Amino acid sequence: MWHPRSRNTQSRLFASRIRGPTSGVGAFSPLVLTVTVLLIGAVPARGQVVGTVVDANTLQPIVGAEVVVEGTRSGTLTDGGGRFRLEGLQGTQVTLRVEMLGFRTLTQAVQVGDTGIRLELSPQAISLDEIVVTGQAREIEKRAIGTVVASLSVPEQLNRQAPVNINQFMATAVPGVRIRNSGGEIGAGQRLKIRGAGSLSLGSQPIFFVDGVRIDSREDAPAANRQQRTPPSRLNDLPIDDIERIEIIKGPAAATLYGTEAGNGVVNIITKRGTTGAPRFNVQVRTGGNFLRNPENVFPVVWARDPETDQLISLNIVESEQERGSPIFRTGRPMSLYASASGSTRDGIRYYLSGSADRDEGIVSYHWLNRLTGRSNLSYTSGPFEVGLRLGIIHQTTHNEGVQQPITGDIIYGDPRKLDTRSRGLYREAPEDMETIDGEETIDRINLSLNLTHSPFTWFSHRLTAGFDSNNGRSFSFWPRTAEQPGPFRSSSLGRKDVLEDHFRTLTVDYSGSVSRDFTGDLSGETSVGAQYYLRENTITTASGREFPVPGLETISSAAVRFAGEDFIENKTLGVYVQQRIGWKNRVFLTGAVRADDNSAFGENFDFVVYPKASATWIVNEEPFWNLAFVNTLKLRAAWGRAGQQPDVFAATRLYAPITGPDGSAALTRSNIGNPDLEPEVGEEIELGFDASVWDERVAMEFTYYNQTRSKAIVAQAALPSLGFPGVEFVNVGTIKNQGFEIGIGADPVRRPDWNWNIGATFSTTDNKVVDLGGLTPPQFGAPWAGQRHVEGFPVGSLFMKHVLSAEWDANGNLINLMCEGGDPISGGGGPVPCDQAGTAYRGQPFPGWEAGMNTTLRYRKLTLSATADAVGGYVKCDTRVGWTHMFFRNTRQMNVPPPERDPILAAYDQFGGGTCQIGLVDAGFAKLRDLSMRFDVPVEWSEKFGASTASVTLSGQNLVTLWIAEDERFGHPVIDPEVHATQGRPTYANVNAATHGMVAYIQDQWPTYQRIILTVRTSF
Amino acid sequence: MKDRNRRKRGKCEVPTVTTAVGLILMLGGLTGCDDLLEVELPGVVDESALEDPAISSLLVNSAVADFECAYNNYTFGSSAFSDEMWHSSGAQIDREWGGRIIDANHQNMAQAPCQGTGFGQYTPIQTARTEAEDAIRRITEFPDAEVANKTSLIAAAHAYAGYNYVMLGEAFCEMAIDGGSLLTPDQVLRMGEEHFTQALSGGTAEIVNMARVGRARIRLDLGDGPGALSDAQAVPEGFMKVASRGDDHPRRYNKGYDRYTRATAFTVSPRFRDLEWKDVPDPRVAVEFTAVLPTAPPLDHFRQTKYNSLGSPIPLATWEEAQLIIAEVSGGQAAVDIINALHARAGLPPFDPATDGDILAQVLQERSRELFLEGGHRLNDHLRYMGTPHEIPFFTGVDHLGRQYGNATCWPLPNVERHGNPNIP
Repeated sequence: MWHPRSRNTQSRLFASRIRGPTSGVGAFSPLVLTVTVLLIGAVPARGQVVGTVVDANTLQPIVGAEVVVEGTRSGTLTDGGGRFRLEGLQGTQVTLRVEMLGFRTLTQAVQVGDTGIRLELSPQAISLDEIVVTGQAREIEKRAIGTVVASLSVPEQLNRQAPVNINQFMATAVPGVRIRNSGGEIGAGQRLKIRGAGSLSLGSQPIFFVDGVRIDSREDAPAANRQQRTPPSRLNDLPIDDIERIEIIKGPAAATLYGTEAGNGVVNIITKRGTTGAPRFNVQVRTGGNFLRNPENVFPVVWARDPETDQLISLNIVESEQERGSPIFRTGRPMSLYASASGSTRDGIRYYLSGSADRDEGIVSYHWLNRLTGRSNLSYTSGPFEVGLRLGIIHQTTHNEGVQQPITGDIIYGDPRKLDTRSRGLYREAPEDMETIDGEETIDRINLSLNLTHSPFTWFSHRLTAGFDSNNGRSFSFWPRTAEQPGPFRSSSLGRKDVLEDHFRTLTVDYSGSVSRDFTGDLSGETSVGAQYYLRENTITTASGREFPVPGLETISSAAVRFAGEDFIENKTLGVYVQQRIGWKNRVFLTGAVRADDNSAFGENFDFVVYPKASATWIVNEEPFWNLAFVNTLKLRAAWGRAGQQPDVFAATRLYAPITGPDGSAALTRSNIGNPDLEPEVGEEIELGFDASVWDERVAMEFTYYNQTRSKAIVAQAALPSLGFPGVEFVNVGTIKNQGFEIGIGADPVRRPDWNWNIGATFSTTDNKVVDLGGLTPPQFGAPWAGQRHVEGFPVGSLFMKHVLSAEWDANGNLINLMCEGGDPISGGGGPVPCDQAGTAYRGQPFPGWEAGMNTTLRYRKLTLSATADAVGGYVKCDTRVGWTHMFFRNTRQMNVPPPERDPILAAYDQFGGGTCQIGLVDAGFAKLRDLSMRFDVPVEWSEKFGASTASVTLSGQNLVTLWIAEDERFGHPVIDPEVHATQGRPTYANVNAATHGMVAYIQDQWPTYQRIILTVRTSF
Repeated sequence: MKDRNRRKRGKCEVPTVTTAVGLILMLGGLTGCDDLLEVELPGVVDESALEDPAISSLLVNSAVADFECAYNNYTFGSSAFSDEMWHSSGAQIDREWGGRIIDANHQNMAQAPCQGTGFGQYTPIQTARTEAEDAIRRITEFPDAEVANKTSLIAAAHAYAGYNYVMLGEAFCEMAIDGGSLLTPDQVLRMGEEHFTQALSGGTAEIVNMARVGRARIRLDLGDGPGALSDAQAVPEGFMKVASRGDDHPRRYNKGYDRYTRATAFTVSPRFRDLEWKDVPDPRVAVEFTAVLPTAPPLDHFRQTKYNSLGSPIPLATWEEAQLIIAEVSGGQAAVDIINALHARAGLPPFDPATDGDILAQVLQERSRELFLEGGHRLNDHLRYMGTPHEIPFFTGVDHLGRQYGNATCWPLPNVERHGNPNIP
């Protein structure tokens, strides 16, 4: 949820005033000496005060806060546990002033000699001096940035609620950021989008960095154990507890310096860093349960007519299995242990070391995840040099039923007439059959970031960041040969194994340098230049075996039929930029920049691309003329800029692929027609907005309007088959527009010493439209029955299908007077016409037109209650479960009752055939209570009894309540979970569907989102 | 790495921003971007590699490979579409093929590749056709001295090109070639006839006989009885040319075994179950009951036994087909003799027109059995005799799973061609 304040633990502003003992830069002030002595544990002295500085909302320690005794030169910075100690004080009482970026300054009188002082800082609504690194030539205060930059404090959020993966974390916290969830299967991924669909053919995922290094963030990573509809997202591998904050810039206006590939936005994940002083240990244990509440009411009852009596019969399969004593679903038991140590050595090396072990279990026995992670973040400062070395390793195994259609499909497509058969009414397989299949993915991942900063002069500094992310994955699906033949899995029951090895590597080299200068007392300038080089390599090796001669065999070598494959792709980008920023009185800033990129995927006939940008900010409330006292902060911002997105790796090249020819000989086939003129897509954006806080910063607001145009949009035009090349030809002919606004509001209605209450809300809209297709026939993509097309004047990937307006039964049970939407043959829009004369009609867009979120936190002394909810709407989804149960399996009540009881509209669609999505089309809006948490902060006197400095216990529930569903049934068939979508991106028919990239607007048989109860215990030593 | 296939970007055009250029130099003495942006393509082939005369046989082999792949789909897609098979999987794509719900927007028919579910037709056949004609063009232009067996390679490519035209001409209602204007099936078949004629000169005996059967088939389609008779009579007894299949890659799987039998996606239709002739089971259409499938309502699965492995080859041009072409063109006693010769080979009692009925009807019946699940012959017979007294009706009305059959007969020219082709109004 939206929190306008920031949580930077170390600000440049304060670093210039008080340096930690290892900074080594700046004047060697008495204050620094004091801090140094205190932090290395000086001998206690007379007249001391000792205490802790904590966040008034979360009660968590604040690291790096400045604590000063008013009227003296005595002061210090809090250590990794938020602790401070001041000595040599005179008198019986002193007044302490505590300052920290992102928090309101606190002044409080304390008794000299008090060693248990607790100072609570209230978060500032808006902090203009917060440091941002993403999208900037160097670290810069927010006041100088002309675009909205979301900066999320992960530890703060995790103090409020149970952990979620990174995708979900961002989606519930930032307006304009939305995920498409593929369901409640452990290891299944999500698709993330910022500000709508930015591309017709290349996907809309932003690019991701960890500590400045590009990472493997594939949302449709290949895995032999994942159905195409539910690919894993490599983002979810990252342990969220290691993350300090996530910065998100949303569009071309902000992402220009990242150039090609950044047209959909940039996300920079910044991991935790070492603090100064003695080591501080954190230990965290989580456990709980994952379950599906009332599953017998989640899945539909299946219907048929008794073959002997012709009576209507029905079966609740889930209930039937429960009564039989073999419930299909269970409660999974997630557990995790996370431990970290943070501090600095006597040599001044700051460290953050962590390790975690996680076990997550789904709602069936064969869904689980095991993960081990480790992280070592080291940093060292010497003179003008600062070195940071950050290393993370991950070993993770997930398990499922492989690429077998899940048991959810067997339930939905069941038949009461099969109750006494082997499948007990399920479609094909009995629940226990699923447990015989092994689907598994193991990844070993390492990411490294080396950061060198050199600041030889006050007016010049430069930085080199280099690093890599290397992911080695191995996955397989295995069906043993069953003794009984034919087995439950048809041909797979003869024995089958599919193995896939996925090696993905990124390399980043990023240099930037900045020269700053004060021209006059009021006018300042800063010139920055930079260059980046990115490399991505992916090798995918597959092997498959079919038909084991006898049960018990498990290797591909023991299969009768074997085949293998290997693919390699590589992409490289080189870019340079120059940026000039001018500041006036530290309250008006103008910035201009130009970036140029070349990329290995550009066509041979295309040279390079240039992306300019310009922005301005004005801190109005700091002007002398400003006299509205109730307005504490008002920052106006405006920005314009461009960024791009490069074509698919081989899209520009005409290629032939090796294949197996007659009798196993070598042969070639045409694989890609290529387009040597192919250029990157160019996104251009205007962004206007303001950040404001009022009434003693009790209310803060962020407003942004954006207007994006994606020109030279690459359209995947079907290659003309009669010319002999299959698949598609990518051409730069499209134009797309996205515009909307984003609002974030936060308020602290109650601020009291014992209790406080804050609320936050977000709302955003996206108006997406295909403006131009260059005269091409509106291309269709995805599953042919879903009717998704890119059509001028309509949102990207909208759904077009026959739309029955009315139909009637005659006295003899015949359908008559079938009237459909007429008008344009594709988009409809006309009055009723007889259905046999009607074409298709626009039925809705596949992405939300609006989204909203709300969060609230209420704290009373040591007890904190938090709630988070979100909602989306303004889009449609094809629920094929509804369509297929009605049309093919015909196991719904509606399809088993005769006219006139049967809905004539349903019968009309059924009569046309091919209307899976016509019947299953639903308004997809919904609202869910995402998280409901209660945290108890253990009193210090209790925690100290077991040697801990702080401790807390949090009980959280996730996805407990669906607050609203726009359409909860269709022709009597329930919509199982409005949130779940297919998230596939890989092609179905060669390259024909390469344009899907998470745009498919349907759900098939994915798992519904389950409920989750998590108990978290945190302690610090 | 020297031998690896690489793709180079053109000369790197770093923008003329002095600062930026200086920065690059500062980064490590970078002198250009060619090396920095060069990427390797170790898994694919750039078109320039096809300019080498040394790969002439590879070019023809590639054309054959794509033909066999397309022919595999054509054989079993047309069987699924005809009255030979019923769909039985539950998958929508199978239902559409089995239910004749194929229109100009049918993506699977129009654009799906050979491998995978469904039966991609239009694009695989066009790809195979252009591969063959491209091979003819390239090899013809190569110097004679640099191509071994040049004449026979070109003849082979012509023969396979001809069969691609057979598929395009027999099954599709309209056609376009190389982005050209609309063609009728007869026009397309005549283009195939020309290829077969070219293949007759210079080809190996196998290629020549393959071309004879192919040309006879086309001439039968075109109503050129004497021409068909002449070609068919020249085919030696026992001749059989097959399209190879293999279990080495899904692309090469025999789809009749893979989809019909292994995946139980189609069951032999009742018209082809337990076929007998005068109470003697006909071994040419042997089917077996395998299981009751969990469809709604449950469905008996009968598997065909003609193709019993993923590597079972598919007959392409056979003496039997040639004989039945002779029978159909000649009629009368010549046809009866051929029918009875085929019966004798199958161990069936003879056919007697005096008591057993119409000779042409029997020829068509013999074709349905002798050429069961072979090369689209059944679909062709549906279409050839549509509207005649010997019409072979498609299944219509409500199908075995309670759904309405579609009304497709010949396959429409896909809209992906019609809308993208500037020469089609």
